[in-house]
Amino acid sequence: MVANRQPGDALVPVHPEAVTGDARALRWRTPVAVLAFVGAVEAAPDDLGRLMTDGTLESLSVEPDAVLARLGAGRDWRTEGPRFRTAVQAALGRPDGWTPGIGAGTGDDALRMAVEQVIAGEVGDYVRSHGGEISLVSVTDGHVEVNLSGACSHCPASEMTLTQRVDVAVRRLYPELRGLRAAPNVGAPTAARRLLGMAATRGR
Amino acid sequence: MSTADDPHGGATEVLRRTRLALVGSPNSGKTTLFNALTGLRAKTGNYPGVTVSRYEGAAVIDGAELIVEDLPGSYSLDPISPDEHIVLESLDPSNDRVETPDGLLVTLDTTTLQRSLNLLAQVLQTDLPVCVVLTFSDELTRRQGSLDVAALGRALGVPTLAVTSGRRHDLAALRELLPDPRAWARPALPPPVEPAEVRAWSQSVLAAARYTLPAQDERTRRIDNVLLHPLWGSLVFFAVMFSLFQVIFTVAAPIQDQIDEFFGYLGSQAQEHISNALVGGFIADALFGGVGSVLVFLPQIVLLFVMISLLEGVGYMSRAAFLMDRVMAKAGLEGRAFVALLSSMACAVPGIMATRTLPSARDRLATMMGAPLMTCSARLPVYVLLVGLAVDPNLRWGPVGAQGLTMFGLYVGGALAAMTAAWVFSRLGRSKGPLLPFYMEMPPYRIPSARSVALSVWDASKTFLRKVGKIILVVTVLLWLLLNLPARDNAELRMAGVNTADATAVSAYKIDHSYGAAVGRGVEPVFEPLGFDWRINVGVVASLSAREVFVATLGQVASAEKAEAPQTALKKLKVADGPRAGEPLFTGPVVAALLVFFLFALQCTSTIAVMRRETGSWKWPAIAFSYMFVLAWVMALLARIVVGALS
Repeated sequence: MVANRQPGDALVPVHPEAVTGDARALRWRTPVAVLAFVGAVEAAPDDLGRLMTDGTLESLSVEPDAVLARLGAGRDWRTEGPRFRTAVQAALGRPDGWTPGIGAGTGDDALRMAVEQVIAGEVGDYVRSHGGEISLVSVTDGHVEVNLSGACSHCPASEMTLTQRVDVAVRRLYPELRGLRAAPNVGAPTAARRLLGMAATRGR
Repeated sequence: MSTADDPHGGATEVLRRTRLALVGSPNSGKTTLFNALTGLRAKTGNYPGVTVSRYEGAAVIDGAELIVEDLPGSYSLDPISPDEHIVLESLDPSNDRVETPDGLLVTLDTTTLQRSLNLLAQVLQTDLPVCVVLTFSDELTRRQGSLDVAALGRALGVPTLAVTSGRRHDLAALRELLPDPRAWARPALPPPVEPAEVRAWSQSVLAAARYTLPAQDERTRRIDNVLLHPLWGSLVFFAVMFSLFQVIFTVAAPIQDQIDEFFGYLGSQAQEHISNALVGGFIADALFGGVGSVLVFLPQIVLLFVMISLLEGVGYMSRAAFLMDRVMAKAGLEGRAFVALLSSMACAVPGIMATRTLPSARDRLATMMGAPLMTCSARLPVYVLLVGLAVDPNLRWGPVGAQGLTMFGLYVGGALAAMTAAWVFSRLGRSKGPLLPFYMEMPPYRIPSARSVALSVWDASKTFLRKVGKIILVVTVLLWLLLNLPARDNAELRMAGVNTADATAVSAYKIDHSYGAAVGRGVEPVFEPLGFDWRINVGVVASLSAREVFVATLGQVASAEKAEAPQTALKKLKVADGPRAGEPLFTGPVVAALLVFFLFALQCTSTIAVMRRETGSWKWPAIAFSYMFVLAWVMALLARIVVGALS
């Protein structure tokens, strides 16, 4: 699914983002699905592999659009960062050199992680800011079912929220998404005036 | 929280105030932000050693005063141009020639974010607290680009906010952050240094911020299709330059007449109401006459700068530089040198300062050596006076008048001379310094803010007025003294056979036997071959301080002969001494020699001073002065011979 890079190719675009409350961890954002799996990493190629074995890294796991790295005790990113950056970029150029660890998965696991990331992120925040609640019901073969509750259950705009926001955000993390729908029993459309009101605030 | 911004912490007043510096590429909205933060409380100065202007201002936030410095615009921290050198030094804590700021505001133009991130990556390497200010996001939206500011902030790891000029709300959010740069978030890990890794980093950051490139500005694209076209573009360029000078001459003329009349009125009032003839004459001729004859040019300078800063603000100047790149390449220079030469048409001082944008030291020197040859506004009054003397105003072919044509010829001559000089100096310096790539940004066309236009006009006028106030006033006063001393009493005059009842005869005698006349006669051997007599010599010697003084001097000399109409008096002047005594002084060949002399000579202390500051030694101003003087003398002699042979 993912081809190895040839020497001379441009490097895989990465940049680190801080992980709130954990100075030893950095989330290295990568292009989506640069690796074929999500979850814990057992072994990685070349220098990244050495960083994992020599204790520089405590843990390494793959997310749909990031590699989450946590340094061993007593290490700091200012010192280890440059070497890690070069190592992870080289390793991402060789996706089949990676070995998934226990609990790592592919396909629907990656999709599940993507949906959870979306719910925990900005889109979820948006739903919650409107007094709604969104949760994952199931992931089956590329199809996702979510449950909208709270203020959402009778909201005429919930369908729009779903398709426009959740779908777009999940697809960004998992382009192979085949379908996303609300679990049955989502409230029926009500007054047109409310619909218009919601539609107007949607664009903010 | 920092204590420095606590207005009640009396004891903390001794702490030095928080210093912030603005960093950004040219045209990134940096100066607009600076003005918005500091109002008009900015003061200009220079960085030690080099003359890159330094802009510093105070921003008052919650009663606490912060120092904000507007660092010169730079595309990178690679020290290529002098401007970039300064930025690099300012951001280096180990460099103690310049103070290192406590925090940096980096302005990034969202319409060219990709390139701007390279600069940001370098700035973040310094590990100083950084706050990113995104500019032109309204334009990004208009051009259907998009950017998630919050996501960009997360990716960069530093405070990031969009400030659209003119939106108070945006600015207020920024101002809240300013007092305490130490509290700003820092990136967990600074961006990489290695170019390929930097590219990967910025690509990743832009993807995370869901940046979509703005569509090429349709308006800009369509305008550029015409303005950068080899044929139409050049035609428009010449039309623009032509109208520029038309406007300067036609619009300014009536205002100039009024200023002239006003000072004439002041002078006559002074003479009427001051009983002491010597004092009255001093105030009327030296003060009002001298200063007035120069202040007359203020309207033209204001207009020129209004138009240059309008063209600059709209975005036309970089197109003009692009068009001129090929022409300039013939002179061994790059397109940006054109902007410096064009500014020199107003005054060589800003022209020489504009050479700072040239990355190559060789190009800078070559441009500086050529710039003073461009016809500056100080040559204008001299040309007007001399052309008026020698060329018949009624001589015209259809709409083209001979006077205007001569004037145009002088401007073209100046431009050609400047280009040739630059070419020669660039050839001489060829072995020194590598040829650097020409990199110039084509900003989208924007409507310039009235404020920035007004500021640049104000700056230019201030410089001019200061020059009038200092150099020109002092020199005219000195000249008046030289031309009117020693004082003669009536007995002495009668002994010399002068009719003391005839005021004109008296003043003619006085001036002819003044110290000034002695100076003029002293340098006669130098200028005799050019056909100048002592009166012209005094003017030429005096004009070495500033060209405009020549007009004031001849005015003083002529008004001694016939105060009511100096112009007619000048025409009637006769050669004072020597074999040509009694012949008309301002003959065609002599006026031609004078015009050509003024075209080439470096008669301007301000230019010499700014050259010395910019090059850091007296060597280059000395070279410039000498080569231009020799050139002026030789060319003037040639002009006299050629015109003499023709007429």
